[in-house]
Amino acid sequence: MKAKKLSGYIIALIIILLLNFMLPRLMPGDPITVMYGDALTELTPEMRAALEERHGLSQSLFNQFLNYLKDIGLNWDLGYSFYYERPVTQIINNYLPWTLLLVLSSLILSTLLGFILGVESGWDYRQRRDKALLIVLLIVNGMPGIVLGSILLIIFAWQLGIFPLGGAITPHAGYTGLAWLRDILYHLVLPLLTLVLTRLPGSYLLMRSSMFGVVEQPFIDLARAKGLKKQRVKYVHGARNAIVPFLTQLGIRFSTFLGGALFIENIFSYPGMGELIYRALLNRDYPLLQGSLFLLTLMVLLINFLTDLLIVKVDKGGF
Amino acid sequence: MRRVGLALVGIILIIAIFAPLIAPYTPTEYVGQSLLAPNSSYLLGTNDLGEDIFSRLLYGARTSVSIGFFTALLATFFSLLIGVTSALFAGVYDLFWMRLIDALLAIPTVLIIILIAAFFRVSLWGMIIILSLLSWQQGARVIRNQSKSLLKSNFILAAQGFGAGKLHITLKHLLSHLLPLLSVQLLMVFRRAVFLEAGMSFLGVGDPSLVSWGRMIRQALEYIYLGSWSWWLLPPGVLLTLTILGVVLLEYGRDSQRSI
Repeated sequence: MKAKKLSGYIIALIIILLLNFMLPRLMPGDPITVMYGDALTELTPEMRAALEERHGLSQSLFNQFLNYLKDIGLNWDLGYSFYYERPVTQIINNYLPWTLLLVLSSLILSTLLGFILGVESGWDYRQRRDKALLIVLLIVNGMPGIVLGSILLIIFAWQLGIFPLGGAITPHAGYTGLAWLRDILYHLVLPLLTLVLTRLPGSYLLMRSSMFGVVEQPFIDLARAKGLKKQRVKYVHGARNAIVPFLTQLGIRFSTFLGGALFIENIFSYPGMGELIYRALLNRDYPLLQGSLFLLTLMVLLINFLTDLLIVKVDKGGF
Repeated sequence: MRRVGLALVGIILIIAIFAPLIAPYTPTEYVGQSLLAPNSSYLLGTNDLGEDIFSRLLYGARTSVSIGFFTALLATFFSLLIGVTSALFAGVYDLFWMRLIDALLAIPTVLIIILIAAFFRVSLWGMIIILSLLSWQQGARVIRNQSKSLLKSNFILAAQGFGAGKLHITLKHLLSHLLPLLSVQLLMVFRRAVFLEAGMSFLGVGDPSLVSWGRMIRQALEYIYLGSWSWWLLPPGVLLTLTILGVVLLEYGRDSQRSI
């Protein structure tokens, strides 16, 4: 792990913390009204005093920032939502798993699919099959998730009624075991399909360009000359050598998947973080909004950091 | 591919520029009964507020194009300024920007835009500024690296030998060699900005009075049970797709002449 990469993450974390801390204080009016004003119908003097005490608003800005850091770092306290009348971390616990399910499953699926299509396309570089695949995927690439998702929802859920209009499980159905699993998958199909399709062109294009860089190398000719089977040359000799740039992108891709999921959950009323953030926006529930966005950002930074570590390992291991 | 891309972008541009001439109504005006199906006076019917959907569709192109255009211009200007000066001055100044770029690239842009836009309830120009401030990083790094290798090339060393100063070299030699990079950058930022604006409006972040395709799609979704999606949701969806597709084709059309 290079020190400069690590410093990038630390600076990123500081920027996020500062931004979260400063935004309510940069707005016109006092931070209490900005943060809680819209979520609360009326703020009694006692509540206001308690909030001012809690945020230490009478202290200097620097001390306030230290308090803020202490709340997050030591107590894992991301704030309190008056709209839900619960701590932000508690609310998030109910929504985050659905987002993770959606993001991780689509990340795996679209990475695998993009990998295979990219290998096939790059192998046949500039031949008919490659061109056809490229055009189809470029068109998909032009389609934003909100458009593709809406259309899938209308066709498959509204018109044909094959899939549910929203939600992640059938409420009060009391499913257990396999039926429960099937119910979850049934609700997952459309949001998953949307996210996989909108993110497929990215991994496909990357693998394709990486692959045709390898195809013309002498060791591929050698492998062929040895009389090895085509599939074996393609995947073992070719793809293995083209995969490193593909892997390095995984961390960054997690972040784009998460961004995409926020909008797609919204279309399918999927009860994940996107839906939560949307509700928070509607209700002007700033503590919840800030807490949710902060947590997601933290996750992205952590995943990027871990993939960087992994890549160092892969490079050293002589892939 | 390039020609198709050019045609698509051209059509959208024409719609955006001439929207006030083509549109039968003002997009934010109550023109008749709400939720009408398409008919001879309202080509695509009316929305829940009794506004003419066809007029809103045309004006939506203006929002997308102006956000894409000005964000691309502003962000590319930042990229150029920071990239070239980093290459020229090197040292601590360069180090500062490169570390900052590393940090900004690690932060998920969508989340930060939602956060800032939610607090400030931004207008069109506010959105352009936020998007620009979060879209220059990658370009700045590419331009800085390219400038660095250009600065080591013989023709620039020769110019220096003849006593050319930093300003002269930048204006006379560097910029012309950076042009291909800049056009790639402009297209990429344009596409991202159009995409993000639609997403933000879809989520309801930003100025609610802004006529935007993203917001139209959101409104149409709320009335999905009326079966009005084919004239309310599909048209903005198709135009949004064609805009982004047009730019994608321009980008890859360029590359196909070289490597892809």
